[in-house]
Amino acid sequence: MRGFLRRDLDLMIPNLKIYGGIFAIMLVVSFFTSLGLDFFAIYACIFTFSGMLGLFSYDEANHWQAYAAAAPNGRRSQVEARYALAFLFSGGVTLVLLIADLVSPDGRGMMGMPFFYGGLGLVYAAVAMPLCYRFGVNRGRVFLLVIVALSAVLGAVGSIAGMAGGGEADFPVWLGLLLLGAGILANLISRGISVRIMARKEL
Amino acid sequence: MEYAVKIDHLCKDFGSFSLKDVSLAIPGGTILGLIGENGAGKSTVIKCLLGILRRDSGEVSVLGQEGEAALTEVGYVPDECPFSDALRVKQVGKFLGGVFPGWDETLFGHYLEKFDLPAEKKVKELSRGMKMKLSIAAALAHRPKLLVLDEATSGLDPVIRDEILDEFLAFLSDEDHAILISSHITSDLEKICDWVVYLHRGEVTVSGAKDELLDNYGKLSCSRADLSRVEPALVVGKRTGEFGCQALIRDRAVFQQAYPDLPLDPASLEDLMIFTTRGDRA
Repeated sequence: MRGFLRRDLDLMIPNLKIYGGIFAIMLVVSFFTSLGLDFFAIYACIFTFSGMLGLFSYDEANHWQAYAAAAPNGRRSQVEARYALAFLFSGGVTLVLLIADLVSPDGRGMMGMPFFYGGLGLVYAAVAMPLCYRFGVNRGRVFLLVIVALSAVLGAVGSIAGMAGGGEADFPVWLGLLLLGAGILANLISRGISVRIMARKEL
Repeated sequence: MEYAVKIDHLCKDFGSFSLKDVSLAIPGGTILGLIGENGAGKSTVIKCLLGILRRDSGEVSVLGQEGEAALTEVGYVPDECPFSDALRVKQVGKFLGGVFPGWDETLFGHYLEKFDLPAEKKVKELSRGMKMKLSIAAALAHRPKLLVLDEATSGLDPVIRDEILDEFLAFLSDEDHAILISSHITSDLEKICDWVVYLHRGEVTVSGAKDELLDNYGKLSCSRADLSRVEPALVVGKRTGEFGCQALIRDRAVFQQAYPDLPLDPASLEDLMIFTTRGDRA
């Protein structure tokens, strides 16, 4: 699995540098404007996971899945590496947001949000990856667009409800951890499904 | 281990195309060339052998083992470079070290040097020939016993092709090693192969030791009247033109005894392919 993970990281690093730069600008903006960091965090999740879908595009362009299947334990290892990458990215997003919330004067009441976004990223990966393995990257992208649109609608509804209720509500840590746990569980189940899809797939 | 590869009665049905009852065997220390026109099923045989495609029926054994167990000792070179354009040559070596248990980074470096592949260059900056050399370096650097090459020399200039063919011959200096190579460039295979299997529309049409095959077949150039005298059972395929005919003849010795007045030229693998595929049936 180590080699497959390294390949994925090598391919992602140029994109991550760009995403990292954008996210750093967003962090700075959030400190000096009324826009909270969580407003931007959703974009970090989207960038990261659309980058992961980009890896499937690389796979398809180079027939990598077929080549990898001819390596020892290659079918399983390439799937496991990609799920490990999803965990790494979700962990990274959670950690950066936690640090940002800790140093932000308004962030203390929202300490559950970093875990929520980490969990959300894992849920994206859990649903998109089996689709990519089964149907190809294009359907995975369509799914990502649908889930982003849904998230935006839910976010808007939540904001309106919050304002109607007399201001912003805290987002407790336990709720964030619960969502993160759900994301981890979804990812573990999804990994099993993807391994089974790849084991049977004609490449 | 008697055979590096043994395929018995392999069948694979795709609906519009099917591989029918393909059998072949590669003894250790030899090269088998899989020839056939585009779409004849060469890549399908290779993919079934490596488990990239699931076979419908038949038996496949690689280096005396079945299933994934043998893949540690197989070097695979697909027809297209499998490494992303965005990667650097040296990155390919680094990550493949974590994919193949027997990976030898020093040996990979040696091949990069030998093939003039700059480690710092990105794959997208390499020519098609250089990409193919990179794939071959990657296949050889984990010290395989069996090399499987799918159209590895197609689209390359003659100098690079010759260089690559020399590398294959060097690989075979160890008697434990064997090569399965598919190509429609029959001149390459004629240079290096010990065995030839000719696939046509998913079926094995001709197979055997290359030298015996070439000895057994001959090419006849004559008039229509002369061709009409020839026993049809001896004619594999024929092409009739305005000024005469050409035919591929089997059982060269029998033919020369029966028709001493008709001159027979040696046949090439290309003749074998063309007359079987495009020639009018006898």
